[in-house]
Amino acid sequence: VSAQQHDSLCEPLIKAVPNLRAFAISLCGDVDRADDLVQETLVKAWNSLASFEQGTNLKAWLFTILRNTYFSECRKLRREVKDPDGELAAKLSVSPEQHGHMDMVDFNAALAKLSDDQREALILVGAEGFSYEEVARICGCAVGTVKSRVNRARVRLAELLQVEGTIDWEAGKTRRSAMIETAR
Amino acid sequence: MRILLGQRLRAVYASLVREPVPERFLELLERLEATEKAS
Repeated sequence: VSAQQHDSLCEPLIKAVPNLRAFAISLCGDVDRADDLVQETLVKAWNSLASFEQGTNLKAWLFTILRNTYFSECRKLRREVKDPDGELAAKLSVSPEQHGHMDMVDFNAALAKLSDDQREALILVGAEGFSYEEVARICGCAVGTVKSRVNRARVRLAELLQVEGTIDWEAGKTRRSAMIETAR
Repeated sequence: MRILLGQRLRAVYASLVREPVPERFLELLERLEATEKAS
């Protein structure tokens, strides 16, 4: 890989950092660990630039590296730690100081209760705006699997936040059934 | 207050995206670039 290619990669990498961080924080619920994940992702991307096909989606490529790094670390941790669930659950609770808004804290707590693969799919589709097909490529699974993960994530999140009725997740739609009343 | 869950998800996520980029990432890329040029 030429130095020129690296030069042209620098700016897009920096531009992708805020989204990579947001995704990493959403995945692991821990800002410090998220930053380590982003750092590892940037180094891996830099070193494996040859495997990036020019003209394809750089952001999707970076997200793929990040999530693969995260999940392989999780597998390693699971082998090392006897009680990974309890530990992870503790890590995933976001403190109010960290994100201010109480409402947001409730939401984050609910998000943290989803399984890793459901949370991942929901974030990628619902927050990052990737298509189901792109997410299937990022996660290395079938499109149908992504769809069912997203659906289950939505249902579970609604349950956790005690939202009744049908929820409309599509942007811009304001069907009455889509509305929810918050307690506050 | 009426909110869509999907909007809440995007709002929570957007607040994470808006956080300032830690210096370490800019420094890291500068370091990588410098190594590239030295080699």
